[in-house]
Amino acid sequence: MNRFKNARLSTKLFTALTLVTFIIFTTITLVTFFIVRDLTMNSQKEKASLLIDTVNPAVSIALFLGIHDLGDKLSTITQRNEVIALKISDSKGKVILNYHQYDPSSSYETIQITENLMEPSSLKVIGTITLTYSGEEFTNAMNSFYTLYGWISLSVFAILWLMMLWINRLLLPIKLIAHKVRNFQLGKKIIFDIPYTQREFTQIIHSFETMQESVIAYAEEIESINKNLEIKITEQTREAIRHLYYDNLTSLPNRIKLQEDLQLKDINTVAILNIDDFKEINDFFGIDAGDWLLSQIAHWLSEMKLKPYRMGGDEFAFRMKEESTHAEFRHDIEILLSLLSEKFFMIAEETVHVRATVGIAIDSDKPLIHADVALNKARSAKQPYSVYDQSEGIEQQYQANIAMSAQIRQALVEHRIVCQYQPIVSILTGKIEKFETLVRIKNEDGSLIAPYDFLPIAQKTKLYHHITQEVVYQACNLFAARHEQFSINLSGSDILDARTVATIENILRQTGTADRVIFEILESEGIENFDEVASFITRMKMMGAKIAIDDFGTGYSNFENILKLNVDILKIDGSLIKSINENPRHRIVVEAIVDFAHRIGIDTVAEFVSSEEILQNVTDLGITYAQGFHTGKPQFLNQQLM
Amino acid sequence: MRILFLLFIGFFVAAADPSFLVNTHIRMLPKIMALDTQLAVKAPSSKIIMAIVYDSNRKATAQVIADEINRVHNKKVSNISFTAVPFSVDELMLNKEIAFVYVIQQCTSQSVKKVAVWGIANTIPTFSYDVNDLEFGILGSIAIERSTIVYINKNTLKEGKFRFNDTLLQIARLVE
Repeated sequence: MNRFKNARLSTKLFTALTLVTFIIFTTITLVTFFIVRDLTMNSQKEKASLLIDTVNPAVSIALFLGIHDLGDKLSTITQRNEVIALKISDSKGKVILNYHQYDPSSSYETIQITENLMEPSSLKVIGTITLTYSGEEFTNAMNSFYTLYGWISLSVFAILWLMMLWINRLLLPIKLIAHKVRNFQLGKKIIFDIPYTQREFTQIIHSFETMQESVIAYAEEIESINKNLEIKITEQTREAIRHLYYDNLTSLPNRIKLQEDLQLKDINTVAILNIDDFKEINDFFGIDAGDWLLSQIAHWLSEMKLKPYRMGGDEFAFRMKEESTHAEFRHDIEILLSLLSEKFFMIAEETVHVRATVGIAIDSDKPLIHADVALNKARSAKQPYSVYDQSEGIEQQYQANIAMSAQIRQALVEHRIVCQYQPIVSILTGKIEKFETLVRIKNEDGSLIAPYDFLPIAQKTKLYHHITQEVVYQACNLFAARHEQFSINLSGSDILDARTVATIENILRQTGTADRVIFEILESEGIENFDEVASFITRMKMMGAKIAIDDFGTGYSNFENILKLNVDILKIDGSLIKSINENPRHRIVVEAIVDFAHRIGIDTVAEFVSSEEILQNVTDLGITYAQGFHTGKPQFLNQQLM
Repeated sequence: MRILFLLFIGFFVAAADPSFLVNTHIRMLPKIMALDTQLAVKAPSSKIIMAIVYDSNRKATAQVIADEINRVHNKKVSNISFTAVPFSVDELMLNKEIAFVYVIQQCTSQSVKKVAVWGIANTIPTFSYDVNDLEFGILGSIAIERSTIVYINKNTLKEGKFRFNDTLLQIARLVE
C-alpha cells in the first residue's frame, strides 16, 4: 500500500485505468456472455420447440387415434441434420417411437426438449415427445463469441499499453520540471525549456518562474537582513564585551578584565585601593553624589598613568607595569596616596577630601585575593597601605574560619551543640543557687570546643541565633526539672532578631522557667542598642525573667543606663576580680560597683573567682555571689535535682 | 384413377384380415367423431349417438360392432359420452339425433349412396368400412396399408361443410 502511495503518478494513473478498464471490460464481457449464451441457447431451444410444435398436433392426433406408425408424419423433422434423436412415449411411459439419427460429437452440447402430447378435444396428456437437438450451432456461436472477445481483449490491452505510453509522454514535463526544481540553486536561475507541453504544464512552469522570482527576491532580502543582523550582532557583541569587561559608571576596565589581563601577562603584582569611609560620603551626600565622586576619582586615577581598574563599589586596582620593578610600583603607590590626600574633589559645589587605603600583593599566585588580604590588614592597622606577607598566615586563618563555619553548621545539624553549667554560689550561704549556661561544640571524638573559638565566627556567619536558640532550648528544658536559677548569655544581635526573641518567649512558656531564668547582656550591648534592649528587658521581666549585665566595669560604665534598664544583677567583669588582690584601682572600681548595687538593691556576681583568697576578698567587699573555678567548674548537668 | 388404385390396395389389405380392420375402426371411429368440431351442435342433448348402419339382414353384425365400440370405449371418448347404436338405412333417415355414422361392410351401393346424401344434407360425418364407398359420397374411411391411413373425401368434406380438427385433416389422406 505504501509502495502504491509513493508510486509515480503515471503508474498510479495506469494502474487505476487498467483496474477500471478491467472491471468494466470483465463486467461487460460477463454480462454479454450470459446474454449471448442464454439468447443462443434459447434460440436453439426455440428452434427445437418449433420443430416439435410442427409435428406435435399430428403426433397427438395419431397417438389419439392409435396410429403408431408415425414415420412419414415425422419426416419433416427427422430429416434435419440438427435433430439427433426423437422419442415418443405414451402416457404410460411406453416408448412408441425411439428415433436416433446419429451420435453427437462430444465437443458439442445437446439440447433436449420435451413436450406433452395432448388429446385434441379434452387436452388430456396422452404422451410425451422428446427431441434431442444438436448444440453444434450453439457451440459454434459461443466459439465465435469467445474469439470475438479474445480479439476485443487484446485490442483493449493494446489500447491500454498505448495509453500508458501516452500518459508517460504526457507527464514527462513534470519529471523535467521536478528535475530542474530539485537542482535549483540561489543565484542560478532555472530556465524551463520543456520541448512540448500542455497548457497545465505551461501554467505550472509560469507558477514556478513566478515563485523563483519571489524566492530570489526573498533570498536577496534575507541576505540584506542577514548583513544587517551581523552588523547588529557585532555591535551587540562589542557592547556585551564592553559591559562584561568595563565598568558602566567609570568606563574603567573591571575585575573580570583585570583577571584576564593577569592571566595573559605574567605580571602578578597588584594593588587594590579602597576609598576610606566612602559609605559616609554616600550617606551624607547621596548615592548619586557618591557615583559622581567615584567617576572623578576614576578620571583622576587614569590621569595618573597607572591604568586603573574598577573592582566594584569604592575599590580600584592597579597592575604593575611590565617595565617597572616592585620597588617602583610600591613607590608609585606611595606617591599616589600622597597626591590623593592632597587632592580635592567637587560634590555639588562642595569640596571633598578623600583618603584611601591600599593593599599590595607582590608576585603572588593569587594576586587579587592577597591584595585584598593586605588591604584588610592595612585598614585594621590603620595604615595607608600594606603589603601581603605570606608568613603572617592570614589566608590560613581565613581557611580555618571557613572550616569552623562548616563545623558549626554540621554541629547544629547533628545536635552537637551542648551546654555546660557553671555554678554561681551564694557568698552568704556558700550554696549553689544559680548556674551560668556555657555553650560548647562537642567534637565527634567527644572533645569540646570552647565558645571563644566558634562564637565570633558564628556571629559573622549568621549562625549565632541558631546557637542561642539551641542553648535556650537545652537550658530551659534542663532546668524545668530543677529548682535553681540559671543564666543564659544573649548578644545584642539576638535581642535585635525578632525571630530569636519570639522563640525564647515560646520556650519559656512551654518549659515554665521564665521566673528562674536570667538573661546576661553585655554592658556594651545595652549602650549601643539601648531602646531595643530596654524593650526586650521589659518583655522578659513581664514574663518573670531577670536581667544581668555581664562583664560590668570594663566598658564605659554608665550607672544611669543601668538604672534605666532596670536590671537585677551586675556581673562584675572577671578582669577586675582576678587581680583584685594586687591592683588597688580594680578594688576601688569593684567597691564602687558593689556600693552602687547595694544602693539600688540589686545583686552582684564576682566572676573569675579562682582562689580562696579572691573569694575572701569578694566576701569582704559584700558581693552577693561568686562564680569561678574555685567555687565550681563548668559541668554537664542532668535533670536530676541536686 | 387414383381412387381405383387405392381401392385396389384396400381390397388386398382388407381381404387379408377383415376382423383386424374392423377392430381398427372400432378403436378409431369414436375418436374421429370426437374430432368433429360441430359435435356439440349436432347433439344438443347429453346423449350422443353413433349410428352403426347396416342394410339387409346384417343387424346382428352391426349390433356386434356397436356393442364392441361401447365396450372398448366404455361409451366415452375424450370426456364425451356417446352410445353406439345399430341403425338400418331407413331408420337412419328418420332419426335426427345421430352425430356420427359408420356404414358396416357389405352394404349395397344404393344404401351407401343414400347414407352419403343424407350425411351431406345433415352435415353428419359418414364413415364406411369400405374405402371404395368414398366414391359414393361417403366422407371417410380407414384403411390399413403400410400404416393406418385415414381417408377423407375432399368433395364430400366441402359439400357437407364438415368441420374437423385441422390436424386430422393434416394426417388424413384427402382424396377426390
